[in-house]
Amino acid sequence: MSNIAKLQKVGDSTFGRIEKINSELLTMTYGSLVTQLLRDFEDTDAVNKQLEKMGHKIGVRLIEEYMAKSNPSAGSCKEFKDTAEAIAKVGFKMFLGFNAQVTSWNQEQTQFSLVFQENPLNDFVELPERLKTEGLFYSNLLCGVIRGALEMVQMRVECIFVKCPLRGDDVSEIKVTLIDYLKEIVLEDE
Amino acid sequence: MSNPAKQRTEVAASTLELLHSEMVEYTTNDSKYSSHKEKAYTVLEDMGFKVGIRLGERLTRDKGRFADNLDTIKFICKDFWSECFKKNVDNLKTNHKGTYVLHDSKFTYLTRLSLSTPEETANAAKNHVVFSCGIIRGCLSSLGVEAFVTAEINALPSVLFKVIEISRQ
Amino acid sequence: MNVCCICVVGKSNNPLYLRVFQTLEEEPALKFHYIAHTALDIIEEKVASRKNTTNSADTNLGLLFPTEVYKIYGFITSSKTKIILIGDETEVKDSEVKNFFQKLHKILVDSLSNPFYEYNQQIESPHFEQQVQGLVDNFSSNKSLQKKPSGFKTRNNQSMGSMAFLPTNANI
Repeated sequence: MSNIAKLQKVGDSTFGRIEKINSELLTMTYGSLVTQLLRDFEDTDAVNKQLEKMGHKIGVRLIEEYMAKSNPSAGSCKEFKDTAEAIAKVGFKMFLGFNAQVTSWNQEQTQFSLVFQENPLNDFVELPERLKTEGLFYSNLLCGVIRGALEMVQMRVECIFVKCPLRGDDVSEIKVTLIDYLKEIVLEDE
Repeated sequence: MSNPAKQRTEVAASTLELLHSEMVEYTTNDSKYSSHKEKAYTVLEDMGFKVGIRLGERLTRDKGRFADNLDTIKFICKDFWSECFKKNVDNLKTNHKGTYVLHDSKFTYLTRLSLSTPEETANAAKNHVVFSCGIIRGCLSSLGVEAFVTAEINALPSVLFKVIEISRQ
Repeated sequence: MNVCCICVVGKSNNPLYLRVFQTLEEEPALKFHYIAHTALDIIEEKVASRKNTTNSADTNLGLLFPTEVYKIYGFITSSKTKIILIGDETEVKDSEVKNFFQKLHKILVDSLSNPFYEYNQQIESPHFEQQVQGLVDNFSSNKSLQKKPSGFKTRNNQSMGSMAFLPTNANI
């Protein structure tokens, strides 16, 4: 079995096991957050940044659950290449219920794209024209989540949304670029 | 709009829990409202309200209309509660004059709370029921019952939600 | 039946949406406003008369009343949103009208779920327009073999703008 197929199996079985809720609850809750941030901040880019920041904190906490529930030996995050597939096939599946595709590797193997059709955060959303022009990336939280989670496995990355169906693209695409590996931080025992 | 006609789909419960926690953290600790707790709670409650009015419409779409307010409250205690908070309400009391007390002995957003001091935990617990009060008030409002919704926490993770109708129909 | 006008009214009888597809008479704007106004009164009566009966949970209220050229049907949701369907007199089964209302209700609820929609305000979503048009086209094409009544005029995509004079105090 190929590595990707193996990861997909891990993702499916993990998602099958864990406690789940109706995705509409997440959809509505996230919508409420985004519209509140649009009221709280004057410019749209500040909202993108705030969503990313909140996502980062979620990512830092979420990795614990990922490790505990997904049998991480199968979804190992040692090499950046394996990490990409683990995010796409295990991480996305386990937390959001769908798989992403890994595409567009650069030659140095330090940059890839996550491409996906589904996204429960986007359901029912119709972005006003003004926000499209001003460059809101509605689901920008996801970029922060990926950055935060990878930080916990000693990878410093930059994540940016490059395509979003709410702005007229055919798919969602997040570009992930490895900046460097962080030195292992030894945590004190609790 | 992506895929509006699809079947019911699911996501991990922990995804929503993490998002909810961050929303609590943002309003109470990291926004321009954080220095005024009342204001922070109003904003958090309002975010819940907006979720509730939409859920009210969605969850009752195939259910038909409710006979009266008690019928609506019963829907809140069962179908609505199990969708939002993963179990049914344990006990419902009413004075039949427009006040209802809904007891959840193991409220989902409080089951994992544990901070270093009892004061911190009690404070965090308070912060973690505000959004839900908003959801309940919103859902009731969309179903024609305008009410105040407050929460009382006596022993974690047990919560008493008090619903007081503003206008009886 | 051919759909002539669809009207969605909020829980405090505030207008959410009104769109004319076809008209059979002069001065349609005035006429449809008048019909919608009357329909709300009849919905209120029907809901009150069904209270404590076995039909009290029904959302579909069926035929509300006919005029000389139109038939008017009503639907009320659990959130007290009213949908009024004004059609021509061509024969139609009750079950088809019910089915139409249920589909429209679903489209409506999905549209209200958009976080950028201000609750209980007029619906101005292009996506909603498009979905409603699709539903109406589908409904009408099912009946395309039927003879259209004489004096038939068609005006598509005509919005009626403000519906400010609908009563806002009725308590349904």
